[in-house]
Amino acid sequence: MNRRNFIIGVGSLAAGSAAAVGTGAFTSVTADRSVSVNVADEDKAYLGIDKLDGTVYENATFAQQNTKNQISFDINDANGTQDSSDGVGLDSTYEFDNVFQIKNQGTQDVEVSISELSDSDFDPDASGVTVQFYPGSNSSSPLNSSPVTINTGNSQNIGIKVITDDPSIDDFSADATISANDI
Amino acid sequence: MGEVERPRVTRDVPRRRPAGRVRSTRSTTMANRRKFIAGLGALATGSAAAMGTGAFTSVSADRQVDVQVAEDANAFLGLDNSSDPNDAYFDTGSDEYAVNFNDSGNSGSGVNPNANTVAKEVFKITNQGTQSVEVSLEANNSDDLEVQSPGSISAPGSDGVRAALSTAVDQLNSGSNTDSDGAVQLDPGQSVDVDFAINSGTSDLSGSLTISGDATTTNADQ
Repeated sequence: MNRRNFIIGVGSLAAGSAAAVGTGAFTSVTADRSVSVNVADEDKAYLGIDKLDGTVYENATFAQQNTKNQISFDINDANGTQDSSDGVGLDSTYEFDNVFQIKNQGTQDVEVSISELSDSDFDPDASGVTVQFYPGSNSSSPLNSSPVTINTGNSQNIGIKVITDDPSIDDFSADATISANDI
Repeated sequence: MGEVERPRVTRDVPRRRPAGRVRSTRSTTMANRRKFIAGLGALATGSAAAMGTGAFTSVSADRQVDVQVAEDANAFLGLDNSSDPNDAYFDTGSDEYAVNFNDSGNSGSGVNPNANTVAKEVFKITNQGTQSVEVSLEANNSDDLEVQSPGSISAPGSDGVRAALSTAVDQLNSGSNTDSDGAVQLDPGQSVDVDFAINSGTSDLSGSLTISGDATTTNADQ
């Protein structure tokens, strides 16, 4: 009888599908999950960049904190320098030990490097100035060529070296890039 | 005349048990989530057998439908910690997990302002079903979030977040396993990690990531 055949067919189909589903198969699944990113103040970020305590490290006066505590350096008219003192001299190498610190507040041990700034980094017409960063007081090991390892929970003091020749312009300003890569 | 199928109804419908829950014997060793499905199967076969004898016009039976929504880690398409350092950013505090770049567990409370941050292997997607599935990511109407093709995570050029399936799956499956549409095929039991990259300004960012799994074969096809 046709009607019965039809019904039996449906029954078999249903049973077949149910068996397939029952073993944990699925045809498709989608799930939406939220992603949120908190932008921290720089001293509290995963790669914390912070001033040093000026009562312990005098050269901390060259570091300033701006929006969201982003650090910048002003080798000019810093607090604590004489009013007549406006910056570095010609044909000189200035080393400022322990100006700021980098703290590893992330999840992995990292190697930190900081780019060197020279000449055209400052201005297309500039010449005669190089700025390097180095660990603590170890000025012979610039971070552009010798990255320093900072394990999670640790920090590293950073110094700044300014090498002048006979600069073609007076005021130099540029952004240096701090890079931290997992080891 | 050939054989005649005799109208013989020994039991129209499975007898309702006091608890009101259909329970098949094969469900006893299965996970809770599967109980529901096994129950449906029993209902369908039971009805078909009864109707096939043609002794009644209609039958209806109410059955309790018990759907358990599994925690993400236990779902057929499982989402779980990567067991790598960056799973600190995968929040498993509630049943529906989330990616939160806030507390690193190590005094860090977020990404740096005006910086590019890459966090690989934040969470993993595991095929806990029985079939091969194609897994893909999609940004769900998110201004801040976009998705890159598998294995190519890099920070966006302006403020925003990117997500991509990691390259680790290349070591799982031999040969080519990524489609032109950016999906990665996972066989049962296989996993793929999800990487993130962030270009941050000074404002917080957010988005919604759609994770999809599509079966490439079904048991019924086999």
